[in-house]
Amino acid sequence: MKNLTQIACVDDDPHMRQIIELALGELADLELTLFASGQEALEGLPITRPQLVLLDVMMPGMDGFETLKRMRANPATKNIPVIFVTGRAGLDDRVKYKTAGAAAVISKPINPFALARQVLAVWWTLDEAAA
Amino acid sequence: MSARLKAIIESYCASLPGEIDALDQRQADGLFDYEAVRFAAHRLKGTARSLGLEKLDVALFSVESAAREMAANPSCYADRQGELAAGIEALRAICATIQPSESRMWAMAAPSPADAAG
Repeated sequence: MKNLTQIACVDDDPHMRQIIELALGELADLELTLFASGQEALEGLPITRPQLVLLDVMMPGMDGFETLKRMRANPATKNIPVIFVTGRAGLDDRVKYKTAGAAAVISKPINPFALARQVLAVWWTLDEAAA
Repeated sequence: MSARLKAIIESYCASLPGEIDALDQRQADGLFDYEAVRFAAHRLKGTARSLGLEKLDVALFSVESAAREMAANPSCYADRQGELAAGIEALRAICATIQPSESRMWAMAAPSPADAAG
């Protein structure tokens, strides 16, 4: 099983980025890159090449859907698994997110004490599926 | 984690008056930019909710909902403008007195032995 050591997080709220950074600090040897917008992420992800991206859905300008669509259109980022992080996570929404290409959905509000475990659980599932 | 979490809560609470001022911007015609208000309220609400600031969460939800409805339905602008303005004033009043200790996460962020060791 591959260790998860490189994650990128895309969220327009600076305090949310701090919460996620704090929460994921529980993961050993983690290299976390933070982006404040979809556009910033599209510019930075081909360089940082994380193993996983946490992506906010509702952001001004380019939302999470558009960001994911453009990631999938870029050979450098098309295979990076994406977890949507969103307050809208009902059944219909989840179907929409999966159809758009998200590997998983984590609901907001984020629990800083549980986020690392949630992300690892997704990672392990993806790793098993790839094996 | 506890000291850093508390610092985030304090920073968020301290940022709120400025955030509400920014949200309360009106265009030259006196109307709100409803999409901008909606996004700002939504963004602040996500963090309020994650930090367990319930009064603030409810007030932000109210403003976001009103702004969303007005952005989607311009015909109700005149009727709802006052309601949105009142919602923002209520939000401003909460933000003026909010204490970090009101956050549910504040109590959960009890010092750990690692924190005590410095």
